Amino acid sequence: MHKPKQDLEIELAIIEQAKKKPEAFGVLYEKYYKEIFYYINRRVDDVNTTSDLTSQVFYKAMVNLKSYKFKGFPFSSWLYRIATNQVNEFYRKSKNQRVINLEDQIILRLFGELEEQPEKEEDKTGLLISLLEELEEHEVQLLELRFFEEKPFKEVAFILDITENNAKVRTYRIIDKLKKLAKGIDPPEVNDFLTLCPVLTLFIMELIKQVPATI
Amino acid sequence: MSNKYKININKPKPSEKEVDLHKNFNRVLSQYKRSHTNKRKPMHKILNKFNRFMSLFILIIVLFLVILFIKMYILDKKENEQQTPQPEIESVK
Repeated sequence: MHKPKQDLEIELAIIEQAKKKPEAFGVLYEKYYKEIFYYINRRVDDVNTTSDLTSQVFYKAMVNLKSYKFKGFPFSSWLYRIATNQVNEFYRKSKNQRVINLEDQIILRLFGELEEQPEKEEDKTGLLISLLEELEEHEVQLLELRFFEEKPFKEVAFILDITENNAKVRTYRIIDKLKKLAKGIDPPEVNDFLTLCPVLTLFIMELIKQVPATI
Repeated sequence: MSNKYKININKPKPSEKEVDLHKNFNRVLSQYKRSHTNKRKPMHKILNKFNRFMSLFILIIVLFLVILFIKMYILDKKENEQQTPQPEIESVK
């Protein structure tokens, strides 16, 4: 998300004003609330939890505003960084299952990167679910920022507090890992339902065995 | 089916109206003001600041004491030299 230089300068002036007068922060709150809300909501299923976490993000931004230093990115990048940490903290404390929200566009984009094209749409979704299950949380986070949020590497690096090179290397490693996994994993199909439910298979086998005995 | 992650596909996002219902800058501002007015500087921060200047402060004090001691010693020596009577030279009879 590239912003014109003038926009960044205006934003910087508001930040400087907000450092002295917290009420001025309201402009930034209005500007970025929805963006941050949706970003958190894509990672947390519940709307009320999203609302709480979003409020915490803006509160923390206000508290730490004095330490904010402009590094050529829009202010939202800093908010994304706080939001990412806030979501991580939420999952660390609650130990809930992490949520990943996939959309058709994201699935297409990822398959474009993977150079793998299953024929059916359902196959793509199934394959992607299997692939994501193999990734660590920090790897999913990087993919989300790069391919779901479509952030440039520079901004991804800033949000995750790593160098730009590191962000690139890590992303390509993940893509490589996914490519290798994609070659080895078959997408689960509806026909293979029994293979997905071993307990049900065993139960049916037992039934078949018992049928001749009853006859 | 999945264990590690809960994966939603094409889940509708909350409407803008719904998001607006949760937006409340005054709540965040009052939380900020509350925490800011009751904020006491934590002890470790005070000690850290104190530690930063402490070594320099001790060094200056030690230097000052050494110089003072040397000066006093020299003055004392001079006074002693002035006060002590010259030894009488016994004339050889």
